[in-house]
Amino acid sequence: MQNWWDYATDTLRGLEQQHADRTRYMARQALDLISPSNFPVTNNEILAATAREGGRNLIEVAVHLAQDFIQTATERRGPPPKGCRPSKELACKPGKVVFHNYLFELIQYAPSTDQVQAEPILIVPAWIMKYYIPDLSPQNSMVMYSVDRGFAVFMISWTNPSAEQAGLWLENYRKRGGMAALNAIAAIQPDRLVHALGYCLGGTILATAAATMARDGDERLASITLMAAQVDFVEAGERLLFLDESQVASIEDMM
Amino acid sequence: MARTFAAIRAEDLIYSGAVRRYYLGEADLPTDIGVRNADSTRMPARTLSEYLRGLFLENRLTAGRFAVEGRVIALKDIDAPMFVVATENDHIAPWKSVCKVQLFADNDLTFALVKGGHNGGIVSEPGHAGRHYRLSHRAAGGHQFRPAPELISDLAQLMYEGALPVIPIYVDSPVATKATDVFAQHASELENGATLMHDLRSRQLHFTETREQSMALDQVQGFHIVIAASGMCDAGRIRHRLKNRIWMDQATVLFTGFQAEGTLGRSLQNGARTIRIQGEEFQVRARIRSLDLYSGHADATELVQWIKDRLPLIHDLFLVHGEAAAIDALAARLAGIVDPSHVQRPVLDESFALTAQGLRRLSIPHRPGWHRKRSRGWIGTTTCRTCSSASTSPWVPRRTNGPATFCSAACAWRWPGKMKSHGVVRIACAIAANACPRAAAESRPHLGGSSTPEARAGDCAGGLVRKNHAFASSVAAM
Repeated sequence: MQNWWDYATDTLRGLEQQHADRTRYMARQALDLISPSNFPVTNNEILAATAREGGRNLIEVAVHLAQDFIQTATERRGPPPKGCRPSKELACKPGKVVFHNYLFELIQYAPSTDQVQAEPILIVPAWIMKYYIPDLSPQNSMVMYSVDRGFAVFMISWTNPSAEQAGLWLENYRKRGGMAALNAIAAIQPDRLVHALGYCLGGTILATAAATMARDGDERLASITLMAAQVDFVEAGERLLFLDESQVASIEDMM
Repeated sequence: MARTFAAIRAEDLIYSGAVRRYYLGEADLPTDIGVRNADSTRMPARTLSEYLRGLFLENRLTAGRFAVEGRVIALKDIDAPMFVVATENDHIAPWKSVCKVQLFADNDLTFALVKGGHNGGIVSEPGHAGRHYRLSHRAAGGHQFRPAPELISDLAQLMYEGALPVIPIYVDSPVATKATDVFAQHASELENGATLMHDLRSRQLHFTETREQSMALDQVQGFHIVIAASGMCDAGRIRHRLKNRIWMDQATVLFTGFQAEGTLGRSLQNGARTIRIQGEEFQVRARIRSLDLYSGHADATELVQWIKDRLPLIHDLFLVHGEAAAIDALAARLAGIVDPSHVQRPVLDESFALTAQGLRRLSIPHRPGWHRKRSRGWIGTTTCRTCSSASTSPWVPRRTNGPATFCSAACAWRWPGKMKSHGVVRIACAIAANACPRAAAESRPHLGGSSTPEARAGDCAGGLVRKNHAFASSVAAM
């Protein structure tokens, strides 16, 4: 079905590529929405569960619906579920804040080995999500892995900007963020090369910082790691489909 | 912003979860990634507009229009080595886009393509069950790499990007045409299926189905690409295309698959200056190139792993594909994993009945003489019809219509079944036995019966005498 629609929305002569992509995307969204598994009478699993529980699952459903409606309307989130609480089960590697400014806090993780490697690691996460993805759970924490191998690990934890900080721009994130963190590390561990790691948007800002440092003859970076980070946006995926001048202008006006 | 991203993979990220929560009444199972994804932060307005306009719309960073402190920066200036990680199903930063950093920097660069999405792929450690990764490395100043799965898809992409001129591609193979149809039917089950389908429907792509369409390709003028399926150039439409182009300076033959020893494809790869196709001789003037990125075959390690994943083995394992040396090597690798007596290496024309009790060997069917003659040269290891021992240099009687694999002339003679020219076989057998009875007997202890080599040779000749006195005397004279 989806292939048929892909075909129907794609092979028209004279159709502009972007328009074809948009049509295909909308067709797929519509198909996803009306997929038989989304409706109670056409989804066997739902029918079976309702019959088995005598309709009790439908009461649960009403509770969930009410909870989610209130949460979305008030933009307030409930406490994280047990087993996944940040700083308890998640992001639990102990560390302390060694530097902070209006843009971020720099966390240094406590070493777990007697000897520490000469070159520290700086992690630059994206600032649209919380910082702790490289230190998620103990079994998949990159921070813990590196610390256990004797690296001094520093992590940027971006501030959640308030309405007064709406004027912050990318250059702030580079200079007052990435570069300030490097300077802070240099103050704690002088004359060391630093391995820098950027995730997503953090990788993009790290790439700009590295290029600026290279231009200015600053050779403090030992290596650069980019994780799921783009520097070129020509093929940036389906986000680009609806992004054009008019869209950006309307977003800017809303803000 | 998080919601924008979720909408791109709506089926996975929104609806399936919603069905569970709103119809089945199940509470969401808390996962570490889920909690972290809900824990979003805000983005300053000016940064967002700069990000959308400057980076996304105008692509300033790689276009050389991204200024820091009033001066443009270039990723090319970076000397520090880079490690770039991308994930296969990333809907936020697609891997093909992430991979492009190599086009804008000249440093030492290692690229890792890992399984999973934007978060999951990054979070799982190497060696995590059910996950995999691929690595490629480029030294500072080295050439670009392009890790990519499919030839047609890549060509279409390269044209789309402007790296190749937009030229017609002809797929000249009924099998490839059918395979493409199968791809199309199941594209939704493939990773990157949508991209693949998009590329397969490129307007530059043509499929030739009938013989006439295929022959018309020889009339095509100008720069074009023909993708022809080739039985390593020994069969299929490729032979006709080669006949027409191999003697041209402007043509290039690009091999994307393995060419076995003894095939036309291998001779071309080895730099043959003249070749014969269907009895005609041709000068090779075209450029011959090979590319082994696109092989669909697993290597020995992957095959062994595949077999290990399916243990315990109830009956037998058949090794049927590859050159004799490669099959032997694979069998040796499997020695510790599968009982060697259960590893079967069938020869040409051998047939088996697979039953619940195990396999049963059937008699080898009669095939026309040319087929067997052709097979004479390159049968790998065969099992003797008489004594069931394995032999790498089988003795194949000429001018017979019966089964054709014996370890030695002696065994051929002892074969109780009927052969059209049994008499001739017996002479040959006697000659072989007389010529070097000791070597023949010692290297084949399975003959049984008589205890000494001389006795065995005598056995052989004796049988002959019983059969034909005249032949016996002539053999004795030899």
